[in-house]
This record gives sequence, structure tokens and C-alpha cells, in this order.
Amino acid sequence: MTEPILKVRNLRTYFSMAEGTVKAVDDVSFSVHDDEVIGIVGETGSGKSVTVKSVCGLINKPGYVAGGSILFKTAEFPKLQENGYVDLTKLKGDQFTKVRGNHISIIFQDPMTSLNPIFTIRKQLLETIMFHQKIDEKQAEQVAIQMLEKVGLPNPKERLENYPFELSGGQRQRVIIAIGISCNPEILVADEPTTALDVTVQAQILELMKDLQKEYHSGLIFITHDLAVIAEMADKVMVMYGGKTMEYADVYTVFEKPQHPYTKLLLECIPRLDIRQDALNPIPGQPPTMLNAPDLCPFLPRCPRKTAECLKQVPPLEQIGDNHFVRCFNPFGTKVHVVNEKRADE
Amino acid sequence: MMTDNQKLLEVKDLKKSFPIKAGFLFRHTVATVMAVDGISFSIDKNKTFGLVGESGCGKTTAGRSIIKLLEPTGGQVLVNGEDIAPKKERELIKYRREMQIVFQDPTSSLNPRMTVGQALSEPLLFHNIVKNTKEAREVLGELLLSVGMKPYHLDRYPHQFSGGQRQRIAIARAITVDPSLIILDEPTSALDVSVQAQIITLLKRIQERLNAGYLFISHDLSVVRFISDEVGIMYLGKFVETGDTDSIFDHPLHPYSQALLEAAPIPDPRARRDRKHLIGGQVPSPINRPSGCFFRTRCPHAMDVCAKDYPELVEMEKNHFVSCHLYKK
Repeated sequence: MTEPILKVRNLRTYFSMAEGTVKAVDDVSFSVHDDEVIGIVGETGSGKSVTVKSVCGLINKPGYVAGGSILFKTAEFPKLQENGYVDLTKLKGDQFTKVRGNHISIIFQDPMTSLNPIFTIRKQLLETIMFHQKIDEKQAEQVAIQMLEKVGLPNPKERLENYPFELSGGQRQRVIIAIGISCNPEILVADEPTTALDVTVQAQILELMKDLQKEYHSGLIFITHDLAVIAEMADKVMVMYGGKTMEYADVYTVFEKPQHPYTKLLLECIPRLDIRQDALNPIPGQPPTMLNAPDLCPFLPRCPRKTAECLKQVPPLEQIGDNHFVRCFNPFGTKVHVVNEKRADE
Repeated sequence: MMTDNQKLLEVKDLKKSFPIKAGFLFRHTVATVMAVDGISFSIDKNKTFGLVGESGCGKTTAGRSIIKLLEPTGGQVLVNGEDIAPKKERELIKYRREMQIVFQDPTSSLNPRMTVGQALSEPLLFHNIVKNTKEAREVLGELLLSVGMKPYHLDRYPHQFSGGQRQRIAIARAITVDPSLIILDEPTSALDVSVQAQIITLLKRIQERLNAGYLFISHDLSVVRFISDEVGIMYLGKFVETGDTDSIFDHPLHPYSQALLEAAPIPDPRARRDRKHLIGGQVPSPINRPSGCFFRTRCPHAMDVCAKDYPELVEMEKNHFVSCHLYKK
């Protein structure tokens, strides 16, 4: 297998508040290859958005990256190179603008708030293209029209002159995707891109993203709380809870042979569209609060498989099979002890 | 008067329109939005009717018109056989005890300045179920236990709870008066997956205990499939398909229902869809609905007749109605 283009290792992103420290992301590791869709799934406050915001250098005070590394394969910043990788956590000031938008692009959940309401689509789309590709307005306009055609917006020439409010939610999300892919990034990050959309429009946007990803062979990090959307989109899945990676494996393993109690219980409690169920098995208890959380497994209070060991320390993220990582002292199935433990799928 | 074959709730040809006004000195109506355009259904005791559709289809307006938070423009709302649609606020008090509503967002439906105890004793005191707050507290302690909370939570404020706990409180408030009909307007949409399952399970348990009828409004097809006995799929204010839940979900007849069900992803990576019925475009504006069948602008089977007449609802199978020119009896 080729080398990954992005390697996130033991990432920790904390927020210091008057009341204490919020460990929003606390020991998260994953890799992204070309042509691969990584799905990050988790509930509110699990740290999935903060993880990708850290990757995109969008963490502002009082938040900070407290540890770990984000290694990105790039030719930029020759001075910071190490084996072809640059640690994005080491970038200073506005150095990140060379990466963000150009090499790593992000699409947010709500297309109304991520477009500026007082500028036309032309202004917002051309700004990105001209800034990163260093071309004049005329050429940029050609690129812009091509991009809008690619994302399936009818009459792209006229759409350029529209303001965001003149477009529907689905159309706005298409414009955002056009901005996101306009500089042909190696990695596209999509943070709940379809959550605000209706189901028929969501299906259109998901199909569009799948097609574009196939065409561009870029890496896609897809974040959602919706397990059904993850099943549809992802090649590999990272399940997050309480700021930590709980389980990380390919999509079939996660959905068919989950080993972490949280993953298994989560899959058992979702209602299904395709079959009649007589009862759901809800997970008792509440999701954890992240403020001054104890250094233990965050799922501990709700876990039916806790052992004495769980009360002492946080379980490490361990490899239990081929590309299958679980953070649990007592996972389902037999535990396979891998002698030469490898880092997440290198 | 209650008879055996009488339905708990019967909605007949319910209509709700909103005028759009313009002008400064001479305000006049320039257009009308037909948010709900003649829907009919009924709910039995201990049964759930699911109202499904995308945003703007009129499902929330329908729910609010039934409970008279909005004044219906036309049609009948029969509660135990009596039409409450034309009744004035004053006459409605006795029906208010029968009908309760739970909203989507428990953060905005609970008063942040009232403790849980204060908020929950209001309906008890208003309907003279208890004499004073002391009696109310005794009743409420039990009630909180029944929704999975603790009696000492009575003295806390809404902000001290998580979203799931707040929704439990909102549900507790709705069942303080033992209603026979509860309208649930997207009660789980604001909640996380693991909490959603708790709330749905709680709602099922409460239904069995109270023998209540539920009107469950949601855009989430999987939740509706789980909880509903019957469903109505709405598009621009009308039912395109209605009837038995399993019959509709297992073999939808209307092109819109087919597209909607196929568009919804399934939590099984082997079931990745190759979507044959994927529809383009979006829901047209409810101010300017297409002539004839409202869905024809996006329909893959649109014919000449579709632009002329709105199709009637016809019963194609037992308790499975569809409104589409493709189906004729």
C-alpha cells in the first residue's frame, strides 16, 4: 500500500476555560490515503469536528493543540520537511493559508453560514481560485464556471451573479463544494455536509461527493453523527466518543464485527428503515461532559463490560486485527495480541 | 358521547392557509400559502399515526392546527366525536387536558427561569388535578421516576440537564394530565443517536400505560417506521400516500414515496444503494404550486394528465391509499 497523505498521531486539542480544561480531542490517531474515504462518526461533543478543525488549522483561542502531530505529505515548506512530511502543528502565523484551501479544503454543515450573505457567488468563488492559483480574473471565471458545472448547478454563468439567499439549501451546498474542490486539494474535509438538508437533497449531495471523489482521487474525511450516511460513504470508519478514538477499522468490520462495546451498542440502538423491529436496545445513561473529565475510558459509566482494570487507567488504542484498532480492556471476541504493534494502518 | 367504534381523533379534510400581505397603507393579501391542503386521517387509542415529509411539506402546521395552536382554515377535527375546529379558546379548556404536545427542541420549550417542579405543577394546578403545590410535588415525584428521572430533579433548572433529560422533562409535562392524545413534533430530532433510542423506548412505554394515541411528526423515516402503525407521507400540503406502515415502507406505490425511501441511507455498508429513483431538483415553493399533481415537476413518470388534474386518493390494497395517476381502481 502507498504511503498515507495524512497521518494524525495522538492528537490532543484542549480548550482552557475559567472552569477548567476541556479535553475536546484527547488521543486521536488516523491516516488518510489517496482515493480513500475516512468516516468519522460520533455523537455531539465527541470531538469529531474539533479533530478536523485541528487538521485544518482552525483552532483559535482558548483552544490549542496540546500534543501529538499532524503529518501531511507535501512539497511546501522545505525547511520543515521530514521524510516528505510536514507537521502541520508546527506551522506559525499565516503559513497555514498555503495549505488550507489549496491542499486541504473543508466543507461545513450549514451552507447559509459558511457563505457570506453580502457577496455574490462570483466574488466568493473567484477569491479562492485567484488567491491559490495565482491567475487573473478572466481565467478564474472560466475555472469557476467549470466547477459549478461539475457540481451540477444549472446555468452556472447566471448563478455566479446570485447572492447566497437566492439559492436553495442544496444549491448553496453545491456552491460550497465547488469552492472546496476548486483548487484540486489532496484532502477534502466534509463536516456534516448533509445534516441541514432534506433526505432527497441529501441523497443528491452524497451521490455528487462520491462521483467527485472518484474523479479527483483525493482523500475525503467525512464527518457525521448519522451511521447510515457513514455506511453509505466511508471506506474506513473511526468511531469517536468523549474525545477519543474508540474503534477504527474498515467499514465492513465496524458494522458487522464491531469489537468495542460502544460501537456495538450504538449499532443496536438505531431504528432501521428497511426492517420492522419490535424493540430498540437503548444505551442507558448520558454522553459524558468533557469539562475536567477523569482520565478514564469516557464510556465507562455506561459500559456493560467494565472490569476492575477500567477503573484504574485509560485503555490504549490497540491493534486487534488487520487494520482494526480498539480502545478497550475488554472488547468482544478474542483478543489477538499483535507482537510488532503497528501504528494505525501504515 | 363515546361509543365503541368511535375514533379518538378523526381529522377530515383539514386545511390551513396563510395569507401573504403586502403594502404599507393599504395592506392587502397578494398570495396564499396552502400549508395544509385537505388531509384526512384518524388515530385509535394506543395507536400511532406518523406524519412524514420534507421541510415545508406542512407536517408541523398540520399538528399545530389539530391541537388548535393555529386556527384551521377548513375541515373538521373530531376529538371523541366532537368537532373542535370551530370552538373558541374558552370552550377548549376541557379538550386541552385530553391533548398535549411535545416539541422538537426541549431547550426552547422549557422556561429557563422555572424549576422543573414549577413547570410541571402548572398543568396540574390549572386543571385542578391537585389543590396546592405540596400535593403537586408528591404526584410529580412519581411522574419523574416514570420518565427515568429522580424526584430531587424537581428543584433544578432546565440548563442543569442534558438534551435527552430535558426532553424527558418535556414528555413528563405532557403526561401530567393523563392525556388521551399526544402530538409529538420531531421529539427526537435534536437528540443524539444513543439518546434518541432511550426517548423512543420511553414514548412506547408511556403509550402502553396511558393507552394514548400518538400523532408522531418527523422527517426521519427510520424512526417513523419503528414507532408508527399508520403513516401519511406529505408533499406540499397533501398526502401522496397513506395507510398501513409496513405496507407503505415495504412496497411504496407513489413515485415520491419511492424516491424518498430510496434516498434515505441504510446503516449497512452492503446495502449501498444504486439509486434508480433518485429525483433531482427540490420541493417547489408552496406559494406557487405546480398545476395538477404537485409532484409532476420532479416525477420520472409524469404524463399529460398529471398537469391537468390532481389525482384522487385511491385504495390500492387494504388500508394503503395512493394519490397518483399511475394507479386506477
